[in-house]
Amino acid sequence: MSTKNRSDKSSSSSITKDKYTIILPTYKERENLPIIIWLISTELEKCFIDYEVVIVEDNSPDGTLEVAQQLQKIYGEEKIKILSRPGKMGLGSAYMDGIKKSTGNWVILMDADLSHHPKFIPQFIEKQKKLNCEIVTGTRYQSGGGVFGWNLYRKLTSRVANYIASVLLTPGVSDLTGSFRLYRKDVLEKLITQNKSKGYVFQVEMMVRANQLGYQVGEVPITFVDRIFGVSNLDSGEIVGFLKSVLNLFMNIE
Amino acid sequence: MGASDKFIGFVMVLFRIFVFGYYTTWVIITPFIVSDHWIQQYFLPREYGIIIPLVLLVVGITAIGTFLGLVMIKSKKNK
Repeated sequence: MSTKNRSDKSSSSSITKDKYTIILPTYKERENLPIIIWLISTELEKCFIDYEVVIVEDNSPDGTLEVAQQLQKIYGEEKIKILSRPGKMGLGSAYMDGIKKSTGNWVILMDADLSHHPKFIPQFIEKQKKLNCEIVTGTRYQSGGGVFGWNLYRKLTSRVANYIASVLLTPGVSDLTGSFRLYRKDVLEKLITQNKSKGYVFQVEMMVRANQLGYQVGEVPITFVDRIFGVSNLDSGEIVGFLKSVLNLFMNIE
Repeated sequence: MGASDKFIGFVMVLFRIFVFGYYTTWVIITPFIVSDHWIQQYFLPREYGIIIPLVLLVVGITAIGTFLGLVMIKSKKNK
């Protein structure tokens, strides 16, 4: 199965020119959106990468949609596409809808809250070309990567969560809960349709399924910066929820 | 903040190496050293080599179990 995947990929990528679609799910990101778009365009144009951004807007009350429309006027409809949805419907469906609007053959998933810096995207692409793999994930847990803006408690929880998940699920990836990743489009579509988890475990399941289907995953060290505007928190209920769904995943994957 | 976290991590790793070394010496090496050798005074009687880890394990599992139980009860009440 994996050999078949590999051969049809190498033939298609050598003929067509690669285009990268960045899917940005947004909810209440009016301050961050102009900055992230500007960073994406400067970083990617520096490396002559053919790209587009799909903003999946979940009807934020703070007017993120208007900001997105203004940005579209500035950068052009070729570069920025907007998908307006009636409300929050989950990460999986946001990515799925984003894929339908995308025209690239590769998809980059990242957060719009500035915790992921677009300067790593060229490194992702380079890594993918070098390894000829289907997926590249950003990792905080390799030399050169890291987290900024978290206290010791938050760092420890994240480490332990990753450790538990990797012991139970053995996916062979160092950062399971990260959400800054590059996928070949058809691979991403396939993985999302199989994915039943929510929240942090959604990202875990993507890696586990990829491993199960025999896709190769490359890793690039990234620095994660905790959100500057707005808050992200982790309460004890979330920790238990994470453990439950990892256990659930463990039972359901053979 | 980053530097002090690194320091704490460094101390944790040192502690772990120390415990590993000490316990290994205690449980694997000291039984082969004569009982009146000076080094024996730095180690407790050997049965504690089982008792201490066992107690830590029971306490640890109880703590985790209580935490999980409390959170589950709380989340059920909220519903």
